[in-house]
Amino acid sequence: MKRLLLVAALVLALAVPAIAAPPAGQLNYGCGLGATVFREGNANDSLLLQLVATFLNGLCSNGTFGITSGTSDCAEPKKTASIDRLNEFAYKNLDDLARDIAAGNGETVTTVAVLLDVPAESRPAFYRNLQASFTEIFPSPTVETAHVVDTITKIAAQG
Amino acid sequence: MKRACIPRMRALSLFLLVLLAAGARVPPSQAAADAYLAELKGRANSLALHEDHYWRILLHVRPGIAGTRSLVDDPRFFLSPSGKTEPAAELSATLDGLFDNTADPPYFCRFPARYAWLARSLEIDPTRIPRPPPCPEVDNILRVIDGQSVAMVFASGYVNSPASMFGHTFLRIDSRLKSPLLSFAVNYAARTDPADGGLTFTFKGMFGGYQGFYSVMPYYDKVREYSNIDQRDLWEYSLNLTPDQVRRMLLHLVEMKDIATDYFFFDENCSYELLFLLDAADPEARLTETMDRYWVIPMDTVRAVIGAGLVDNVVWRPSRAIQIRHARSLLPDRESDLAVEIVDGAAPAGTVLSEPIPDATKARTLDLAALLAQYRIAKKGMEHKDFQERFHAILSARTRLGPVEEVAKPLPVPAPPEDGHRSARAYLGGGWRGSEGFLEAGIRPAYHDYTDPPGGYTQGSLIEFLSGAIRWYPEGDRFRLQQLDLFRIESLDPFDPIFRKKSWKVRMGFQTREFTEEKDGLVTFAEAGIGGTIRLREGAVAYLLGEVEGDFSRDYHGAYRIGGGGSMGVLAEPVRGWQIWLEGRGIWGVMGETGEGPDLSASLRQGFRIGRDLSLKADLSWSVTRHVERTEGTLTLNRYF
Repeated sequence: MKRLLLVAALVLALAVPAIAAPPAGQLNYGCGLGATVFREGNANDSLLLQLVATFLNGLCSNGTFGITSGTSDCAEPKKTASIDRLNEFAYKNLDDLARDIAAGNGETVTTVAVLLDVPAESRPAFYRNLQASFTEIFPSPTVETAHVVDTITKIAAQG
Repeated sequence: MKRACIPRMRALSLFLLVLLAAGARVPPSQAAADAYLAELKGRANSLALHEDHYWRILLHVRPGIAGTRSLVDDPRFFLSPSGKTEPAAELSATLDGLFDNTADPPYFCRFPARYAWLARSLEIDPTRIPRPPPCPEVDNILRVIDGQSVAMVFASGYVNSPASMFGHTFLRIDSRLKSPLLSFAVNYAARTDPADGGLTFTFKGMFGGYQGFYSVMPYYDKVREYSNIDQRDLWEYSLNLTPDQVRRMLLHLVEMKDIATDYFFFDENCSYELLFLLDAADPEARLTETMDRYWVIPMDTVRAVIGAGLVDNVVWRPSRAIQIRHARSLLPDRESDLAVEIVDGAAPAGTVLSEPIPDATKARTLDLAALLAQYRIAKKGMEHKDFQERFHAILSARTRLGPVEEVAKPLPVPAPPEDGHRSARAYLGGGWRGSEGFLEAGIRPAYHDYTDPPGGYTQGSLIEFLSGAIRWYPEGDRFRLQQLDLFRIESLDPFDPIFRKKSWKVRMGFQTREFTEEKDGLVTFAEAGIGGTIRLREGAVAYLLGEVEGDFSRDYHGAYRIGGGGSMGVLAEPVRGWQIWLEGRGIWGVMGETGEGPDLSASLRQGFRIGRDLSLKADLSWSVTRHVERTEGTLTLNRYF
C-alpha cells in the first residue's frame, strides 16, 4: 500500500505542480471598504479574540488566503468591553455589513442587532433606520470601522 | 466497556468548586499524599481504567497492526515517556501529576479533561490531594467560546486543490448569541510550509511530513475563506450535543492546544482527527472506531455522525458564486449586463436608478453588482481603489431605493451531500470485446465519475483514485489487469462571462491495449488536457479539450510514445437518474513510436441509478489502436460502500 501511495504521490506531484503555489507577499491595505479582503491574522484583534487566538497557531493547508496585513495604518476601534465583539465583527466584515445595511436586511445586520441586544420586535425598524442612514454610517469609501460602529451604536440607542 | 467510568459533565467546575471551598483545610502531609496516590493507582488498576474507552479517546489511541498507540506525536502530550504506546503508564503518570503542582503550566490546567474524568471515575476526595492551582486560561477560553451547542460543517469539494478535493470538515461551536457568524470554528489542519512546491507538498502530505494542529477562529473567517473566496458551499449539520457535552469537548480541545500530530492526507486527516473531539463529547458515538480506515473521506465522517444519531438538522450556506448565478437568473439580460458594466467601471451605479424598470428590479440589479464587486476583489481581479469607489457608489444608490419587499424566488436547495452515493465503489459485470466475451470486476476506493448517481456531488467533476478493473476471458482462459488508474481527475466547468473557468483533466495509470490482432500488453500512461466547456441546457454540457499523452511499454517501437490530440464530448442527464457520457478522442504519436497510426476511440457510457448506493452501467465503445479495431460492450452492477 505504501509503495503504491509513493508512486501515486510522485505522479500526482508531477502532474499538478502549480496547484499548491505559495501565496503572494505581504501587503498593507489600510482601512475602509475592501480592506477585509486583504486582512488576516490577529494583529488587530480585540483582547477578547486574542484569548481565543492563543489557539490560532497555524495556517490551514486548505486556505487560499495567504496575505497578512501586519499592522494596519487604519485606526482600530475603541476597545470597550461592551462593544468589543461588535468592533471585532464590523472590522472583519465591513464589506458585507455595508452591503446588508444598504439592502436593509441580511445576516450581518441581524448579527449587529444580536450584539446590540435589539429586541426582535424592534429589528425591522432598526434595519430601516440603518438603511436610511447609510451615507451617515459610510460617508466615504475609506471610512474607519470606529466611525461605522459609533454611528450604528447611536442609531440603535435612538431606537 | 464500563459505563460507570464515563464521567458526568461539568466535572471540572464542580471539582474546582469543591476544592476551592476546602481551601481552609490543612494541606495533606507528604506521607498521607503518597499513601493516597498509591490508593488511587490501586483503584484505577482494579477498575482497569487504562483500558477504558474514554481514556483511549482522550489519548487519541487507535488500535493498529503495530499494537496500541496514540496518534499524537508530540512528547509534551504525554506525562510518561512511554505514554504514546502504554495507556497504563500514561494513566499512572497522570495521577502522579495530580500531586505535583510545580510544573508550569500545572498539569491540572494542561489536561483538564483527563482530570475531570479521573475525578469522577475514581471519586477522588478533594481534601486528600494538594490544592489544584487556578487555570485562568482554561476558564477564559470556556467563557469566551461559551459553548452551548455544536454543528459539524462540511465544505464541499474544491477540485483545483489536491488537499481539498474531497471536501473538508470542521466544527462550529455555538454560543448563547443567536447568530452563527458569532460562533467559533474548530479546525484541524496541517501546518504547511508556504515555500513547499506541489511535489514537496503532495509528498509530505501523504507520508506524514506535515504536522497537524487544532485551531480556533471566528466562524465568519471560515465563511469568508470557503464561501466568499474559494466559492465552496458550506453544509452546517447541527448536532444534538448538550451544553455539558460541549464543555467536555472544549476541555479536551484545551489539552490539544499546540499539540502536534503527524498529518496524513488519507487517514490521519482533518476529518478523522475532528472525530476525537466529538467522541470526547459523546463517547457512546464511537466515531473514531467507526471511521478507523485507511482512507477517510470527509463526507464519510459526516455520514458516520449522522449514523450515530447526532444530527438534528442541516442548513445550506451557498457560495457567493451560486448567489451571483441565482441573482442573475432573476434579472432580465439587460440589467444583468448593466450590473457587470457598473462593476467594470463602464457605467456609473446611478444609471440603474433612471432605468425604466420597477424599483424591486433596480434593487436586485444593484444587489447583483455589489455581490459581483465583492467576488472580483476576493479573486484579486480588481484594484482596491476601484473597488472602494464603485462598491460605495453601488451601495449609495441601493440605499436610495429604500426597503424592497422580498418577492424573489428563493435559491433552490440542492440535494445534501449525504444523499450522494458512498465514496467507495465495487462492481461486477461482463461484456464482449471484438468477438470474445469476458467477465469483469472492478474496485475504486474513491470517489465519483460522470456516470455515477450525481446527487450530492459537484457537477462536472470526476475524481478517481486507484480505480482498477480485472477481466477474465473464459474462451482463452486469459486474465488481464484491464485498467488501474492511479488517479484520474477532471473538471468540466461551463464557461460563463463572469466565472471564466477552464476545464482540464489529468490521468495516470496502467491499461491493457492491443498491439496486434493476437497480442495485447500492459501500457503505463499519463495524460493531461485543457480546454473549455459550454452549457447546452440545464443538466447538459459539451466540452472540448486539447490533450497530450505519454505511453510506456516494451511493445512500442522505442518502448514509448508521446503524442497529442484532443477529445470532445457531451455529459447529459436526459431524465433524473440516467447519466450519459458521450466522448470521441484521438491521439497522434509525435515522439517515440509515430508510424503506427493514431489511437482513436468513441464511447457511449450510461449510468442508471437504482438506489442511493446501487447503479447499473452500460458502456459501448469503438476503438482503434495500431490499426487494430475493436468494439466493446459492458454491463456492470455497481455497489457503493
